[in-house]
Amino acid sequence: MSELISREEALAGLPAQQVRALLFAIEQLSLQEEARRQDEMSATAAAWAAAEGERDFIEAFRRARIIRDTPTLRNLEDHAERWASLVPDNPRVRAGLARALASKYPFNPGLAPRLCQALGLDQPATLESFRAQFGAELSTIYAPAAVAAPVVPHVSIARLVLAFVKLGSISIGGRSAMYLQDELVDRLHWLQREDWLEGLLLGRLLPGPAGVGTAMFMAHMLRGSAAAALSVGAYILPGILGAIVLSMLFFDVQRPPWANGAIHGVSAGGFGLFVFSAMKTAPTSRKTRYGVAAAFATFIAYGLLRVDLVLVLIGAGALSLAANTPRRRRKEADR
Amino acid sequence: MSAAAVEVFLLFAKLGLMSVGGGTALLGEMERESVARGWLTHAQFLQAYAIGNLTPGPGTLFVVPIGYKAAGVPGAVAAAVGFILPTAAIGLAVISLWSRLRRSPWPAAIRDALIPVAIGLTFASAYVIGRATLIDVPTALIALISAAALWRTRIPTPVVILASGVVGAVFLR
Repeated sequence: MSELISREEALAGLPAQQVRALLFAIEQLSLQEEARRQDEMSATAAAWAAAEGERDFIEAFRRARIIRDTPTLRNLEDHAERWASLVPDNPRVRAGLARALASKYPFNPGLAPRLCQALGLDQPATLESFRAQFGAELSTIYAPAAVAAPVVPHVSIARLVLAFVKLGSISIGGRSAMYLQDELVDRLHWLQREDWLEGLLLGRLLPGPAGVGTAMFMAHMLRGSAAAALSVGAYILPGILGAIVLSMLFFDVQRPPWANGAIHGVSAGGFGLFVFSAMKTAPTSRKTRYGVAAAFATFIAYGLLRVDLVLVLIGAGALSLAANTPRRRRKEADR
Repeated sequence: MSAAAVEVFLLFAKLGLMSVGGGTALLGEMERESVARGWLTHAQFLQAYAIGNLTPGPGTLFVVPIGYKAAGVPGAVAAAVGFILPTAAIGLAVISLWSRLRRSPWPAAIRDALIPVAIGLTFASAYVIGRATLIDVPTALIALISAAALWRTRIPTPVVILASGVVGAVFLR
């Protein structure tokens, strides 16, 4: 812990003791809250298991209960509202605390928004005080987005599979990948928009149906390979059954005129969904250096000039990468 | 599994492995192969494609009606499994590898550099699909209204799409 605050800083008058004590208090409170939450879950599970007469279940749950010595960034973030009251108004202490926390738990506002809020890291007084104490911008303590540990929520395999059964059942209109963004990014908040875009790209590059590749990538991000395989099965099963039923009903039957209209209508609605999904992604292009230009160039090359996908990816990708090499990204982050 | 279902499985496994970029790229090849084998006629192939469009899940499930026509329910399952399973296995291996690499500096930079390219591709696809889908003013109106409904209201997506189908059934005969 001693390396968190150097001797020079302490001599320079930083309330180092206070920061250290606060850091410890925040860690302990987060751990305590986490334990309480797990106890509550345990009690609920025990009540349920008692009703079901399943003592083994209680035992299994008790064994699975893990309380660690040090909290994770996720624990700190989850219980930020609880420990926020410990943090004094003093901007000097807040700045010092931010620095101490960042060196122990790499974070940034994207990963831990509530933690940043609790420390008041967007307040001018804190920023000013950080500059005065450490001679650098506060943003320099933030972990770069790609290095920091991802905050992917813990989703049980059952919930994941159920989510994919639902997705496989509702995604009509022939634009199934768009529903993945709708459900997993915007409704359940399990993944980021960038993750979906990454999956979309992988889906197009891998052999086989693009929607399957995208779904598999997103499931893999949440729970790894086995869960991804299960999820893909769950994702396609409802459609297979539906298509078999429709085949039994509609093949060799003279298609009524309204059915053609319905197909055109569903396709048009599906296109509306596609446009809506594309619009949602547009602001994300600003997060990358020259991202808007890269997106625009890609649109012209692939949409208007019909250049081959692989060539577009290599060309636009290389230009975009030149503007976003790891070195440049580090410089950007330092600024 | 009948011999016919095995044949269906093998054909679609081959087609699946050949398809890069979404699966619909091989539509012509699929039509030629399945019509040549006498599984269905050209008109029935279009019917199968229409059934696929009304089915939830990945768009490529139009292979199910083709398999069904060739060898009944076992054929339908064989077509879907054949088309999806082998490529999904390869895909999963690549995804596992990528997931391990994607947080190192260069792969992370490549990923972030390609995000705007993916956005551009999405818009480009919207443009290409739009030109094929919006065949007249009423279909354009349906697309516009459904996009606006998704943007401005909280109506669930499947409801919007189903409503588009109902409107189409009534007005687009």
